[in-house]
Amino acid sequence: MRQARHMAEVRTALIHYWLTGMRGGERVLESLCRIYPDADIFTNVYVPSAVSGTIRSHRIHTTFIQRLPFASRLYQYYLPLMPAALEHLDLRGYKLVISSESGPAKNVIVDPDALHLCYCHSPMRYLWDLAPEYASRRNPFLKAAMIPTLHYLRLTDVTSAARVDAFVANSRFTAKRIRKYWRRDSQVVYPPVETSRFRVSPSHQGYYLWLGQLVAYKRPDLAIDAFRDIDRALVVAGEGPELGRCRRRAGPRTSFAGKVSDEEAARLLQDCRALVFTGTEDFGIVPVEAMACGKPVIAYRQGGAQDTVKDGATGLFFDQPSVDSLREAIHRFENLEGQFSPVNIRAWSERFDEPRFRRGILEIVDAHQRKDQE
Amino acid sequence: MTEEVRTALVHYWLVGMRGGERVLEALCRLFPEADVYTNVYVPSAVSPVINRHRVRTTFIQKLPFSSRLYQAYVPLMPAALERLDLRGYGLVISSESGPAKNVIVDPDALHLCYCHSPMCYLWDQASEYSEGASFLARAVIGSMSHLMRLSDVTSAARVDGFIANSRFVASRIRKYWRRDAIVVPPPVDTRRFALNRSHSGYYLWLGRLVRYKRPDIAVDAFTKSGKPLIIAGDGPELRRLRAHAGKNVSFFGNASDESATSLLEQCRAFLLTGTEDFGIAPVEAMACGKPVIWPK
Repeated sequence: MRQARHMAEVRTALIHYWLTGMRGGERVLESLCRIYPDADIFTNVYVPSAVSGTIRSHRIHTTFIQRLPFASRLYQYYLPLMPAALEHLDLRGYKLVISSESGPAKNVIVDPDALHLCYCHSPMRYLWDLAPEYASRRNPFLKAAMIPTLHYLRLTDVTSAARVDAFVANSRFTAKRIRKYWRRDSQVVYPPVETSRFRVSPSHQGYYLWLGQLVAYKRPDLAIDAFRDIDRALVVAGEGPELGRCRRRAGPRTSFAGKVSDEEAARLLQDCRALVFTGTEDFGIVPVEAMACGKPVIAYRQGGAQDTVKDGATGLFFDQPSVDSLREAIHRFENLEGQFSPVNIRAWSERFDEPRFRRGILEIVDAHQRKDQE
Repeated sequence: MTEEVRTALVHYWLVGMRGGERVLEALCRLFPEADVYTNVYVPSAVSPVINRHRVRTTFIQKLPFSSRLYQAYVPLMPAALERLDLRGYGLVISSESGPAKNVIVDPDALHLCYCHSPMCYLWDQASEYSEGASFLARAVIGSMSHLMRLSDVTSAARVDGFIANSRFVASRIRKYWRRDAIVVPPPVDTRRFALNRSHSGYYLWLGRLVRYKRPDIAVDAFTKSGKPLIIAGDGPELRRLRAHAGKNVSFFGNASDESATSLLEQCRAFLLTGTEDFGIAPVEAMACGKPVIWPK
């Protein structure tokens, strides 16, 4: 295989913003690790116990951020130093560099001959479209300090985009944001979702499910308000700073499952009637997981859900981030419920699995390497 | 479309009614429901057409003496504009010749930038601006300008479409930001002027008496030739020009809109000596039917 030969020849580096937990970004890195088993990993902060064995099995180098006091816990305070720290990495000799960015990563400097691909989970939201949301809850002193810091980070964020040979976006929404803030084109390769962990469940326990971190931008309040006065059960699974506010406004048939493990989440998804997805995510794994269980998704028509949910076949959209719009969609869903086939929904979800991610990445790398050889 | 799409107009500062603000006025008439955002707002200094809109400011407005010293705060404006919350606006038009395009818009929003001029004190006229300044002032201006250039270039990436007010500005947008622009000349109120086939014998130079507009070229040429010239306008160069001028050159001082109109209507020809990004006065002279003499 040509691809296999390339991998053997080409020294590969994977750059990830920080390795302090296993969230969506790290799942993508894991898949990249499986595609490039000999790759070295570079990151700002590395907490070995917090990441999976697949990642740990690689040689992992860190930037100087790792050596700063309390880096493993306070790494987010060091964010302003990360662009410069990444520029300090010595990547000479690596012919293929894939940066995985939703924190600083693409700032690395590669050889003139090297191919630098950036898999972008999201242009940092706190720098761009969600900056006002993050700014609003800081104390005045921090707020003032944030102004020049964020301005500086935007400068490095935009200028480092010039170092990337090709951008890969995790959804069309992310591609749009890459274009909007960095003025670069990108190709879309959806992140890998482990659909094999989920089984199709043709029946349900009668409740609607909202699953995710209880933070403002995911809009749990929208689901809770919409279900307050209708006679339908809603389970809200997850925790976060909004929990108190959510509990206070909840109706009698809304219950809170708190923080759930992967297994509990899978069970909740398998037993729900439909998933209610109110936030705007760059990709959004949860809707795909729900569909892997054969469950329809009622989603706000914005963000990655526009790519993952097929209108009328695997779910329904509501157009406005309002209680009325969501209620109307729930009503519409119940009228059409019979036409949603769990088996078909499941089949659709499999287009977001790992083999397809692998093919997508390898195709792009291959195309660029061939172009460079010409 | 304008009924559905919430529109924001972002203007650098609203402290007077000059060429840029006339364009903003025209944009206000195009988008009567638009909200206006700016760094500094002095309601008494702008026209009712603009005042009628909801005008919001960045934190620059709250800094000491901002309405007079706003130019000292220019280096803070890029960061201040980035702090504006423009979520929910589907169309954002920034009007730039001071910092404006730095705003951050929704992923789905369309961001157009009407560019009167890439800030000339950062780019082609930077040397002229620091000429004659002390060493210390040059050091401060130099480092501030360096930072400003970084944000000026990086913020160009945020703009979906550039509109230049002339081909000259389009070429400068290309030169310094490496972006294409389409040209839409600014609106000139030509109806204010009447065509006049006769004249009172004098040539006219009209504008602010600042170095880069090169009034000295007109004064020197006419002092030599002895033909009548009227210099209309005020500015720091006035005294130097007077010292050099012959008796055939007269200084009108600052001209109101009405006196400028009659000066234009009565002149033999209009002189343009400096390089303007667009230049409204020559169009006004032509609206009176007067020829324009200009450097190619």
